[in-house]
Amino acid sequence: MSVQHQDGSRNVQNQDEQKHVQNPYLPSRAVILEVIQETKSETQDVKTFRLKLDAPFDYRPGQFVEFSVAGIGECTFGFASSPLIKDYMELTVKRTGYVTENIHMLSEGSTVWIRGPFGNSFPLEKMEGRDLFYVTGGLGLAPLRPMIDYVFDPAYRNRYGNIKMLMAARTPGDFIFSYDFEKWGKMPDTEFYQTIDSPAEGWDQFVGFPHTLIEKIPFDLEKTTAVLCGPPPMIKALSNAFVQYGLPPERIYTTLEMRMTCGVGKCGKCNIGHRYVCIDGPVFSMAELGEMPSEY
Amino acid sequence: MDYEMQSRRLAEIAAKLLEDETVEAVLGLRNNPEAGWPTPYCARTPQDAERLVWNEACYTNLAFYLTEMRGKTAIVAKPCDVRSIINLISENQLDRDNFIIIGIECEGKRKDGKPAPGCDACPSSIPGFWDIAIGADGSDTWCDLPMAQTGENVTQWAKKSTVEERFDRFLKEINQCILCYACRQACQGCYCVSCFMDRKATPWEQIDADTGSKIAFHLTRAMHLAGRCTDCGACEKVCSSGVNLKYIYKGLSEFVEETYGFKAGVNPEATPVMNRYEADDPQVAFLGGDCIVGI
Amino acid sequence: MSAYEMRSNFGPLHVLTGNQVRDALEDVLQKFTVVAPVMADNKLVYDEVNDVSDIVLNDALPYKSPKDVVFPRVEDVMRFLENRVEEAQVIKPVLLVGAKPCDLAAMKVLDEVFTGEQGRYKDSFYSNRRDFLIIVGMNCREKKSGCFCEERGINPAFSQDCDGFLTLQDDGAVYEPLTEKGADLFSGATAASENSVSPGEETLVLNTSEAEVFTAMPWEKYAEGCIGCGTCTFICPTCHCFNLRDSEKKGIVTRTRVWDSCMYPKFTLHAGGHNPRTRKYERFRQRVLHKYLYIPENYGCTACTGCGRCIRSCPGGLNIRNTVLDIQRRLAEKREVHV
Repeated sequence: MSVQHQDGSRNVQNQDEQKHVQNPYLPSRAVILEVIQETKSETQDVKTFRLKLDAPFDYRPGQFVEFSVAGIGECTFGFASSPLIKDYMELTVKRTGYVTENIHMLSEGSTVWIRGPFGNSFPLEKMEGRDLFYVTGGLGLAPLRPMIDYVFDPAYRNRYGNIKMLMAARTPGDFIFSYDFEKWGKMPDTEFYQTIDSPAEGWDQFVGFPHTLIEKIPFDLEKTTAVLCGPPPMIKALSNAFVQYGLPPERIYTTLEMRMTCGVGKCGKCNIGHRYVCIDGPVFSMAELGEMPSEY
Repeated sequence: MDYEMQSRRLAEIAAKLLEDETVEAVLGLRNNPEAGWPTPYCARTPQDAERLVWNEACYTNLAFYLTEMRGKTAIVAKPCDVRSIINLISENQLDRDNFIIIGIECEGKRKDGKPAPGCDACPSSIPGFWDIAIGADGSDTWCDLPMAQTGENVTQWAKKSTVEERFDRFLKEINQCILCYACRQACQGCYCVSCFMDRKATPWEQIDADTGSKIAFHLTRAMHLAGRCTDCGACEKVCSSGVNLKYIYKGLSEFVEETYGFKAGVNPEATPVMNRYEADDPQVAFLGGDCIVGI
Repeated sequence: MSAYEMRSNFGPLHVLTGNQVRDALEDVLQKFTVVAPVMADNKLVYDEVNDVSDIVLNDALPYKSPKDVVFPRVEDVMRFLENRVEEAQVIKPVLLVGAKPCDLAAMKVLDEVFTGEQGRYKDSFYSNRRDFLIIVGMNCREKKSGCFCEERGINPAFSQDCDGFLTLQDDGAVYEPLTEKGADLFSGATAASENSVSPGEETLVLNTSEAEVFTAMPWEKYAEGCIGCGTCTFICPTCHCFNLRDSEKKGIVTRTRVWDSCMYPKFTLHAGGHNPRTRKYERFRQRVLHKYLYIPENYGCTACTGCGRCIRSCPGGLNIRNTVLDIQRRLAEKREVHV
C-alpha cells in the first residue's frame, strides 16, 4: 500500500514507521526531555516540549503531528524544531483548551504519544535560489521555525538568497523563541525585525501590525518568496498587502490551522472545499487558497 | 375543527400582512409530501402565503425559529407555540415589538396516527396571547373546544412508585438515546449559545454514548428546564430514537408550580421562577429536602 | 461480453421457495454473525440477528443505513499500555443480508473514502471489517416519499455491488451469486440468468466548481428550517465524519472512534475559539457540497444515493434533492444568459 504524498514528502523509514502506514491511528511513545516556558502572561501561556521518541522519524519543515496524552485526548501541532536535529523534536503548545491545559501540566519524564508526520511541507526545493521573507505573528513562529533553522544550516544556507524576518507579537513579552533572536539576527545576509501591536516602554523596534510594515522593509519583488504564519486575520490582511505591493500570490506561502482529528483525510473536520488541510495542506500558496472557499 | 376554513383564513391573513408590508415574513408550515408531514416554512411574498397549511399534522413548535428571524415576522402559533413564545419573552429572548402572533385554535395534533406528544395534556384550545385570532371554525372568535386532557399526572405516578421503578423507567427511555441532541436543538428553552455538553473545558460530551453520559445530559437538561418547560412536546416529536422523557420535565414543572406557584408560558410579564429569590422560599428542593419529581 | 457472462463464473441462478430462503438463512446463521433488517421499536433497522424469525425480508427500506457494520457508531481504536499501544482487533466475519441497492451504492462510496487509492491513507479498521464482510443485496420495490435513487443512477431492482443478490418475488426469491464469497450461500433449483438490468443515468449531479456555487446560491434560504440536530448525518449511509475520544475505565485508557457530525457548530471549533463555520447555513452548505461536489472531485463518485432518509427524518423539512435541483436550475439559467 502506498501512502506517498503527491510531493513525495513522506518516506517510509523503518519497521515502526511501516506500522504507522498500516494503521494510521496508532501513536508511538515519546518521553518529555525538557519543558521550556516560552512566555507567560495573563493572556498567553506558552510552553515548548522537547521530546525523545521511541521510534524517531524524519520530517520536513511545515509538517505536523498528532500529540496525545493518554486519557485526555489528541491535539494537532506543527513541528517547532529543525528536522536536522536527530536527538529530539520540539512542539510548542499554547494553553487554550482542555487537552492543552493537561499538556501544560506535564513535566520532564512524562510519557506522551506521537502520531505522524502528516501533511505536506514548505516547497524548500522550489524556493532554492530565492530571497525569503518570513512574517510571523505570535505563535505562528513555531511552525516556521523548522524552515528557518533548516535554511540557516551551513549545509543549506548557500542555496537561498537574502533573508528578511519580521516577527510580530502583541507585547514585548509575548515573543516565543526569543532566545534564538540574537543568533538569527547575526546570520549573514539576514535582516531581522520585530514588531508589537502598540507602543511599550523601552521598545525601539517597529510598532504596528505586520501588513502595515512591509512597505518599510525594502525587498526585491522579482526574487522574493514570502512565507507567512499567524492568526487567520493577520494572514488575510498580510497576503492582501503583499499582493497589492506586487508579489504574485503563487510566491506567498502560508500554513493553515484547522480543527483536526485523524490527520489522514478521513474524519472530515479540516475539509475546506474539496481540500483537506491535513493531507493537501497545511502549507498552501495564496494562489491555491484563492481558489478555495474562505472557510478557515 | 374546520381545518379548511382555518387554512383559508390563515392564507388570507398572511397574504394581507405581506402585501401591506406589515411584516417581512410569515412563519408557518407548508405541505411537504417528501418528508411526510408539514414542515416549517417562511412565506415572504403574498404568493408564498398560499403555501401555508394548517391541518392535524401541524405539530411542529415554531417558537424556536422566531429567535432566529430578522425583520418583522408574523408567526402562526397554536397554544403550545404561544406558551413557548411567552417563556422566551419573559427570559428576554424575544422582542415583543418584532413579531405578530397569528393565534390559531387547536384541539391537539396527531403524529403517526396517535395524539402528538404533549397534545394529550394540553389545557386549552385557545392560545394564551395573540394579535390576530383564527378560531376553530375559521372565524375571528374562539370556540373554546373541550380538551381531552388524558395526559399522565407525573407527580401522582412519582409519589406512588418506588425509586427503583422511577429509575428503571428513566433508564429504559435513555437506553434508546444516541445523544444526537435533537431534543435540545428543537427545545424552545435550550437557546444557550454554548451548551454545557459542548463546553471544551470539560469532557461532558459523548465518549461512547454510554449510560453515564446520557444520564449527565438528560438530567442536567431536565434541571435546566425546571420551571421553563412549556410542555410543547417538541423534544419527543423530533426524537428519531423514540425517547420519551417529557414526563421528567413535566414532573419538574408540576413540582415548580406546586412549590413556587409558577407556571412557565402563562404570563410574559412574570419574572422567571429561577430569576427570583425570596427569603421564605420553600426549601424542599434543596439538599436534604423531600421532593420526588419523577426521577 | 454481457454482464451475465462475466458473473456466471460464480454459478447459475438459484430459484428458492419461501421455505428454502428460511432454511438458507437458518444455515448461514450457524456460520456467521448475520446482520439483517429487523423490527426495533416499530422501525425497520439493520441489526444483528439471533433468530431467523426476526429477519424481515420485504420491500421496505430500513430506517437507518447499514453503515454501522463497517463503520460502527462507537468502536475501539486501541488501548494505552505502559510503553506501547495495543491495537483493537476487529476480525469477525459478518454476513449482511438484505441490503438495498441504495445502501450498496453507499458502501462503495465509503470504500473509496476509507480504502481507495485516492484517499492516500488506508483506514485499517474499516478495511478489516470490509474484508470480512459478505453482502447479500436485495431488491427494493417500495418507493418511499423522498426516495430518488433512480435520479442518482441506482436501479432499485438490481445491484452488482455485493457478493450475491436476492430478488424477492411474490412467492420465494431468486438468488444470484456475484462473487466467490457469495457463491454457495443460498441454493435451490438452478436456472439461467436473464439479462442483467443496467443501471440508469445519474441525472442529479452537480457539474460545477466551488467558486460558482459557494456564495452565489441562496444557502440561507435552503437551510432556513435547520435546527442543527444532526439527525441527517447519523442516518445517512455515506456520512463518515468521526471523532477520536479517550475514556478511562478501571485505570485502562481506551481510545474510541465515535461518529461526529458536520451539522454541529462544535465540529469545526478551534481550541482558541475561532470557528470557520459558525452559521447553520454554512454547515448545511458543507453537507450538501461535500456530498455533491467535494467527494466527486476527490473520489469521482457522488456521495448521495437518493435513499431519502434525511428528507424523511429532518424535523425542519430540509431537502437535499430540492436543494441540488434548485442549484442545477440556477446554474442552467446562468449559463443560458451567458450564451
